[in-house]
Amino acid sequence: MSGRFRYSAAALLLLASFIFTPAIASDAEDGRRIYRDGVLPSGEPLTAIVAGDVPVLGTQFSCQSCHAQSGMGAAEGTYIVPPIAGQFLFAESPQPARPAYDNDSLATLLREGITPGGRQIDDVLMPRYRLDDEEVAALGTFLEGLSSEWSPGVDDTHIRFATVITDDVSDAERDAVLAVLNTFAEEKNRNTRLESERWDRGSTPASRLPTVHRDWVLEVWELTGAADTWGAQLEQRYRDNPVFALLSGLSHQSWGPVGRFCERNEIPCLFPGADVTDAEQDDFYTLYYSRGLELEADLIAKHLAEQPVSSVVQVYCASGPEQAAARLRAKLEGSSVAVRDIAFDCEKSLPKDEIGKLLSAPNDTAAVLWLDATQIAAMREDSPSARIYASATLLGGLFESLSGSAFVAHPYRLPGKSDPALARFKVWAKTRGIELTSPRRQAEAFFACLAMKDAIAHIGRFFIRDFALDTLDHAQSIVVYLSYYPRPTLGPRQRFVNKGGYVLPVINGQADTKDAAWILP
Amino acid sequence: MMKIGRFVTGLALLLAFATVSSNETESQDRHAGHDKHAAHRAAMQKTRYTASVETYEVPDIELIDQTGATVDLQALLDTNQPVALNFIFTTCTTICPVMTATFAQMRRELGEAGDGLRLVSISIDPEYDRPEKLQAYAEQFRAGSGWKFLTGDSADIVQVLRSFDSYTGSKMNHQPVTLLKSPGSASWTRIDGLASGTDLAHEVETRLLN
Repeated sequence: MSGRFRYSAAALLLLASFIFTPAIASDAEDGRRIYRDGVLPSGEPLTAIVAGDVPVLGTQFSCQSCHAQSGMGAAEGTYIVPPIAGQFLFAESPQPARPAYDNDSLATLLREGITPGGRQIDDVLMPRYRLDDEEVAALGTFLEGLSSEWSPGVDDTHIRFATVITDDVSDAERDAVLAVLNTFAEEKNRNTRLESERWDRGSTPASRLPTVHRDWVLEVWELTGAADTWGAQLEQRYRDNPVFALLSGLSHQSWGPVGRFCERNEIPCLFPGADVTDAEQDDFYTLYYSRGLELEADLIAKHLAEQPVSSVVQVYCASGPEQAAARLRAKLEGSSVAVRDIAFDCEKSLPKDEIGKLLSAPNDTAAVLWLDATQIAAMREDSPSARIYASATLLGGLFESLSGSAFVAHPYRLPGKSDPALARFKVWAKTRGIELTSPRRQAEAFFACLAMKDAIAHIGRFFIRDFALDTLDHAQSIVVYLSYYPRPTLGPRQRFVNKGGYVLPVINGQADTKDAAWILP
Repeated sequence: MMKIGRFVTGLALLLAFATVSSNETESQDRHAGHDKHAAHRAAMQKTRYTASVETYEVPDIELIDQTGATVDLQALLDTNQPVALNFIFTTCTTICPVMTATFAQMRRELGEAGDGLRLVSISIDPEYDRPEKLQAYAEQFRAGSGWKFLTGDSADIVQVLRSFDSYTGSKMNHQPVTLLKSPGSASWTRIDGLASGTDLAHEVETRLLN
């Protein structure tokens, strides 16, 4: 009998492991879809009533749209959305007083808007949802696990960040950016060095809680070799030494593999200095300054649509510019414009003859030079007849390398316009003895630090990555500290701070800004 | 811009007292004595909406709609059709979806009576909300053909917001405002707060369609 009992017990356990584990997992998955997408397990959208009498669908009103990806809530204008991650929901709340929720009281709240404390909550913003018991249970299971523990890369004293730099970046540029990052971090740590001793000195309950301050630890993750090996290199560095987030970064190649790494591991990556982003539509974890060279390609496409030519020839050697060229080619597809590329090896000299021929082509030919200032200066043609386009990013602001007349795709503040944020950054750098050899990259790195500091300050003692990113969705006010970009905006799920740019005429090395129009492609 | 006057309804004031306890937020800030959201909470303790009559000067600017077509704002608003206007942005997470759904519901409730009503939603995030974004948003809320979603140059949008006394400096401080205008009239009914679809339909019926 005992043998048989053992057998059935084992069978039961086996059965349990088959039934219950997947049941919980699938519950959480169902709950995740309700929370994030507003879709029921049946695949139908959730239905609800908001503002008293307005029927809405979950696809318009998922839980996440207000309570945020982390479930830590948000504030918009004068409206505040409470946190509903499990650690809050399933715990007693003193203010306003209510007992902990369970699945029954959660169902009552979702359907009728009555809390377990008996209070009727505002129906102006919080919809009344139609959910059955199983669906509420699934949502409860998901919320239980949501933001339930600290993200990796933080302990009681330190928070770790890494800066990714690829090996095509020059030592000078790398050192210039690292000087900013390291100085910022050292200073931040110096300013808060006594915080860990302060926590039990106050008289209010809040001051008796352990400090929220963590010393910043900055690592530099240098990636070498082919881009398709970067993913593995990043995973290795991350396994060896997990970080909370990636901070800043530098590459003239596609940021794609780093972006994929961040999505895969759910690691925030704040403001890399990337020429090409290769971001995907629903990416959540990386915030960029702009779409870089691809934005410039779109600006040129827009300009060409308004002032058509019969053929376009693109000149490039590096991989970033190659992607920009591909983008422009794709944009022109379907139009009557013939597109041709002159690609050469960056290590070798410019194909001067071929380029010379291109520049003296008739003016219904556009020559798009995805080249840097040195390369452009080297092929100096005094009176080019073709229409010339160049990239402000690749030129690094050195318009004087362009001879004759040309157009520059310029997703930056107009030359000669005042830039208060840059003026402020220059003072910061000067007083710290930092030489500005790559001013835009350095100013960008500085802003990345400010954004990170702002996010970390907002999350307080909840070191949860998604929460940090959620707070930046609402951090529109920090963009006044961003130099170089004239119309920066942040917003929920917006991942490119700068969305547009100019196409500026440049005549004999001088940009003509008087009729400059901001283009949003 | 000149204000003729602002008539807060007495009923709204009464409601303000009656709903104080039910409108308080469910904040979880446990660290007593350090309430970071006191201002937010105070602001929540208000009634659903107030209505007033105002005069605004519509700026002479061009915007673009969700199809990419250019729209002369003065011509659009100075019409012999009734107009309902609000300010939204498509990535707004909290009040805009409610405002947009409420507009849609108001339109449904009005039925045929609302056929001539011109619905206008102006984006306050013009850098992000390009026509294709507005089009997708309109589809998400099943907006009908009489409803224009507008965007434009940032400076123009700021000018529109200032003209309607609705500029808050940042889209994150966005306040729910609905503006109603009778055919041929120069004055607007300004509704501050989140009214329900029925409330809005009622305001439109009594103020615009009579």
